[in-house]
Amino acid sequence: MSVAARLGRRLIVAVAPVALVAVLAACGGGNAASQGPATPVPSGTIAVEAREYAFTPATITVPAGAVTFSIRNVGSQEHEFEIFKGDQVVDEVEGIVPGLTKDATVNLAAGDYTFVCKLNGHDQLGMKGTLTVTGG
Amino acid sequence: MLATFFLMLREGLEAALIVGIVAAYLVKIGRRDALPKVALGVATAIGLSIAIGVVVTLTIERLPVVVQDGLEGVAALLAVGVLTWMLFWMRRQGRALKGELEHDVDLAITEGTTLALIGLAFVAVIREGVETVLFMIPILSFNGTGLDTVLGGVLGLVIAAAFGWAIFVAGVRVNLRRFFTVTGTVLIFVSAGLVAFAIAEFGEAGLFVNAGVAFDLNAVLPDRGALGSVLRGLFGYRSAPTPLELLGYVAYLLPVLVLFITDRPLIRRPAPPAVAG
Repeated sequence: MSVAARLGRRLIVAVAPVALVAVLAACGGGNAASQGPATPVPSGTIAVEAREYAFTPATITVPAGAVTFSIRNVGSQEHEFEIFKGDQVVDEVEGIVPGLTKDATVNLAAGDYTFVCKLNGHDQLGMKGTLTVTGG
Repeated sequence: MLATFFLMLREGLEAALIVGIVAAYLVKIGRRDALPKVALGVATAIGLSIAIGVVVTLTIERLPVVVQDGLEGVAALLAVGVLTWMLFWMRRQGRALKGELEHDVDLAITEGTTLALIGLAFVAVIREGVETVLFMIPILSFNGTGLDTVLGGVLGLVIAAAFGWAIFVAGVRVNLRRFFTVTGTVLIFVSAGLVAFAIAEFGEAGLFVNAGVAFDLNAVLPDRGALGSVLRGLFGYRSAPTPLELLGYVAYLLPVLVLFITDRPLIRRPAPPAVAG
């Protein structure tokens, strides 16, 4: 009885990681096909690429209102995307690990903004840009 | 893979440390019976974090910056409050030991105290839990990332949990005097880090201006590098804090540390000299 129970537990311990990896692999495989060469960016969305240590484009001009930024990390380190008005954070996207694309829809009033990656002082190494929001 | 590993490691470390200490502490004061409640508190916090993270992702995609940072700031201050209370409570309990009893002490512990310790474990986990889930969901959806990225994140969380377990095992083994001194000192640094963190979050939420750089160690020890991530996760280390964050850190750390060290909990004080006459 107890031997059977122990065997059963051992089986679960042995199988669980395999099952987990299989599920993860299935998820990954299923999605890889749909990824395609380039993720189409919906109109009205500003695609921004982050890498060590720059944003592309580094100068963005948009009309006031809701703006969606689609930030893709094409580098090899984690990055962040923070929009500042002067010293004040307007919005931020954190945890953008390599390869990941994260979207952020931000409501912006007309004015001059900057966007930076503050992580590990990446902004001082050049990861910053200017964002101009024109009056609607 | 490495980036995700360190992202998740730093999210999980502090919670693991606090839960490990709380659990070891309960065992040391003879309240092993409260451990299932701690586990329940942790499980509830994890479950709630996942629920909140999923609902937020499905509805508004992510929390408005003001709400997320405001909540994280409040949660951090709440944790500082309970941690500080625990420190001084431990000190008082320690004094009652008079340095003679070192193990298996059945200290008087009220239900309220047990509840507070369980609450501390809960707050510690949910504080980082929601953000962890919000970080993990886009990664899990393979939005341009691969399996290695996911595994890196999972591994980071597993290592953090293993660290908490190690703290628990080591904490149960060392004698009570050392346990009080070491964990007390560590928790003071954790709390000071939380104070600085709360200031950073409230600043981002727009409560006050939190700008400038007090010092910049990004070139030496970046807070998202390998060692920096661990220090950030445990003690709220920041390689380039603002003057206000540094002030908050020092303003908490110095007085509490001095109080804790000068009035050591487990050293018997000399009896007061007999009054002449």
